[in-house]
Amino acid sequence: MKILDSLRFRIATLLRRPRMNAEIEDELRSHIEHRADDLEQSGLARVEAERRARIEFGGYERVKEECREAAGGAFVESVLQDLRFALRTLRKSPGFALVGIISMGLGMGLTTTVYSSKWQLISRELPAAANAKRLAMPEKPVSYYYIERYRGQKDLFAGVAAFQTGVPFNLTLQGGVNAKPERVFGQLVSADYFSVLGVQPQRGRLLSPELDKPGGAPVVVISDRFWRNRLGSSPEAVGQTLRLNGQPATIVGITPKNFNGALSMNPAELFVPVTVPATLAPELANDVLHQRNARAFLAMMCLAPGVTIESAEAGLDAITRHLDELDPSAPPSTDKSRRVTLLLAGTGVPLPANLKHVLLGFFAVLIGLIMTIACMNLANMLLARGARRRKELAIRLSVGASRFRLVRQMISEGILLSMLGAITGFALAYGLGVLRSHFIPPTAVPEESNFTPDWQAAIFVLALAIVCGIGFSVAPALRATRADVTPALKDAAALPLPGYRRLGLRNLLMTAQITGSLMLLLITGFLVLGISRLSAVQTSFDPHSMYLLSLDPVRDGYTPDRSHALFERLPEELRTVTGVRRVALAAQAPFSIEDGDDPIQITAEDSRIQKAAFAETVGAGYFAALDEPMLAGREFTELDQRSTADESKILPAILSQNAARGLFGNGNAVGKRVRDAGRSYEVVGVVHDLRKGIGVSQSLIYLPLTERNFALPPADGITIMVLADAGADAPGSIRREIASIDPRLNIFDIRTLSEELERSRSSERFAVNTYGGIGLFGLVLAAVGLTGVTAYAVARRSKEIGIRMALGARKGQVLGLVLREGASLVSAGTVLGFLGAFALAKMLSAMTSVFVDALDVGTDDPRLLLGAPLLLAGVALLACYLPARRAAQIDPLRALREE
Amino acid sequence: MTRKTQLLPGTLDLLILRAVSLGRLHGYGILLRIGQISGNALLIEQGALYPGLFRLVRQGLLKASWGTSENNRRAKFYELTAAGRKRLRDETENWNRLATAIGAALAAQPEEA
Repeated sequence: MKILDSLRFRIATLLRRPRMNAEIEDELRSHIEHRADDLEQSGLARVEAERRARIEFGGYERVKEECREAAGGAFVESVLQDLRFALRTLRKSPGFALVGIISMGLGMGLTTTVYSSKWQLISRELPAAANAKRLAMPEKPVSYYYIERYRGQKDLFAGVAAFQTGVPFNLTLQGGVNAKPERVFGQLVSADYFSVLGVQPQRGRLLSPELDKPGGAPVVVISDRFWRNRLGSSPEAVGQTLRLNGQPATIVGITPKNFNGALSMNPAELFVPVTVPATLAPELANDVLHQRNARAFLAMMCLAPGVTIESAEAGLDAITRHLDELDPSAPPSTDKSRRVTLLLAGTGVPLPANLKHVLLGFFAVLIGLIMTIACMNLANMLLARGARRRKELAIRLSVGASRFRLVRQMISEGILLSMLGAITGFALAYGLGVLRSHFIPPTAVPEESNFTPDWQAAIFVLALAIVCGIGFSVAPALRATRADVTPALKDAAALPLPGYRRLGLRNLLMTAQITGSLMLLLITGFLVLGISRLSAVQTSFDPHSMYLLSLDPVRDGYTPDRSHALFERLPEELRTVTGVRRVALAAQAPFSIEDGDDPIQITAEDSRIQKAAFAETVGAGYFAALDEPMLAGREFTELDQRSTADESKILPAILSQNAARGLFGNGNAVGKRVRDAGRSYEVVGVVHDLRKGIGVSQSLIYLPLTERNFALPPADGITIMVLADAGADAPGSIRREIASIDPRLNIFDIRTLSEELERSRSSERFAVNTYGGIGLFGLVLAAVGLTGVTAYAVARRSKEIGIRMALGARKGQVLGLVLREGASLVSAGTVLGFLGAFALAKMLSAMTSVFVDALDVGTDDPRLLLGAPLLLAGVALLACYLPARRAAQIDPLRALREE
Repeated sequence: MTRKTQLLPGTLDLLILRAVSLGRLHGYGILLRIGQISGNALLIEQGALYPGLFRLVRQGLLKASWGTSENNRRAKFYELTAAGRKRLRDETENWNRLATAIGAALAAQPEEA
């Protein structure tokens, strides 16, 4: 409070300043006049009396200054004065200012980008959710039955809601039956969902267990975004009726601004209660709410007051274990490890508590490294500049400026520079963010991709600027003001300059900078190479010539049977279209990975060997369409595609090479039996390891598309893959063909395989670009820093060089002299940087699996291991060479005459 | 001219408070009053008075208002606030204790054997 008060007082005095000055003047003048009156009375002439009064009064200006200080506000004012002075000084050396602002701007820009795209993503709380700090969710989906049991644990949870995210709805806004539906994404939620999150309605009401009971008229809650974008913020929105998947639903309320549901990475536009009939939401078919082993829902939990995430996880694990044991259908498990992992769910991306800290730590290190390099650079430049300003400083010291005042002045300069850099950097980051949101192609299930920095990022960067500004200017300021006044005044040139010291401040800074730059270059290089290698996909055909399109007839009003029948004939009919070479169906796009695609446990039935594998559901002719030969056995046929999904039936399955080797060694896998949690499969074929998402050596199991998939297609529908002849307008003819079957069918998401690859790897590509940019930034800064310092060293020694040349030194020798100093710094920095980068890579790999794959693949690339240090050394030596060459061209006569 | 004594640091504020406690005064008036009540024995640089006044106002011990002086000139007048009155009392007590103690110390004679 005291600080606030005094701050307020200072600001108030500052605002009153002009009046204050006038008042002080008035008062002092009044004093002098009163004194003069007295002196006049004692017999002096008025003029003489006034002169005497003024003399008696003493130093008028000094008194005025002291009064101002005594009245407060002097501090703020002198800071402003400092800043004004700093601005003038910077304007006088625009080159220095420009290089400084650019270095700082690059650093700040990158930092802001890292902060707003990465840090905030994992640390920003869900908007408008009052319980954000207490939210947790199990990593894996569970059945609604389990969630109801969890809800009973009042000592652990204040509330537990069930939800499904990324649920597609074919939406028709009022109007005719013939209106073309649009596909929007929402969440299917239990009625207590909003109260668990702690969200209040913006208009109308949200869902509640009392009002939303099974059998009631279907209702829907819409997001603020939906209201704005699709209903034009209409004040009559509440009460309006929408058609979802062909069924009417009444809007009862609107969520607050910015609220896009839990897991806000995939923003939801609609919130549909699980109490609606299955005709509205096919996800609810088969009485899914009452099937204890239908693991279809995510649980959102609000921890009871005082319960930690660790104790909640332990409690939840015990309950889940108990429930599993009661389940007669579940295979008995002796697994002792935790069955439940709780994630912190109060942020856009739920993460396990420990991983969150590691990630935040990694970003802090990254930001720290970037800013250290930028600051080292500026510190170096200021050091050189301080030496050049020695005379000016000495004069100011000798006329009575205190060292404190001078240091403060120089620090103000640093802060100003760093602020200007921060503004530049923020603008840069903003531009990058805008650019990015323009260039990211939309995904099947929409993803939040707004990474333009906001006010929080602005505050962050400003705070960082102040810290950095002080950080990089303290040492140079202290050093520069340590000057011995007398010799400095006598002759700036004859100053006993600090000699070349092996461990001088300047050399330390320089070495630290090269070390930091190399570390940054290597670490980011590891990640860039690793990620791009992990996400590269090679096909034997041109990925531009394969088209992917999605259909979801069930949500267009088809019954499961009709839907099945449609997919039965569709491939046949499409093959007759001219230009179409191959057609296959799949439940997901090839080579892609969806959020929540987790590997499943596969067990070989005879040996009981287990292996985790990703499952893909594919139709007949899938591998032929991708031009992938079978290594053994056969692929799925139309016959397999016709199978019923009856639990007792043994379905065929195809293994990737990796999975087959893991489960059956080098023996023949075809004909063997494997099982997952639910059923048995017979292996009918083995294929090459095709990449799924990013990764090196995943195991995959391919399951056949069956009637179940046709009855309830996944969020992105059933994907139809069409390999077409080059030059044919395949999408157009396919569209016409499908329309001729049924014009009501909503074909969505038509794209080529290469677009799909682009899109599914866009975040990796962005990561590669960001990390690559960060690495290059380090390089540029190191070069700028080295050039500056070497140039300064050369300028300092120009007289010495002149003498040497006058005595007969050749240009080559002078060049060598200057370069040697640079080279020793560069090599020391290179060695340290190498060690640091490897230590950091090891540390990161040990801390989290997130980087393991990328770092593993990246760290053994000779191009990088040799290339990065050579590149840096090359750039660094070039940075030394340029000033050195200038030194060698010094005219000895002029150098000697100068100064 | 009589020999004047330099002020001890910190005592100017006390003198100002005392002078103002006798009635509302402007700056020059305070100076005259201090001279009068101290028997002109203290050397006070005229300008040095003002930073002290501003400080006391800021501390809330004095309050200031513009008015017209006996010479018919505009002047800023000072009065004690309640806090100022209390401070004057406390500081006077302190001063007396200090003066007595120092006086006693300086007057002490070596004990006779």
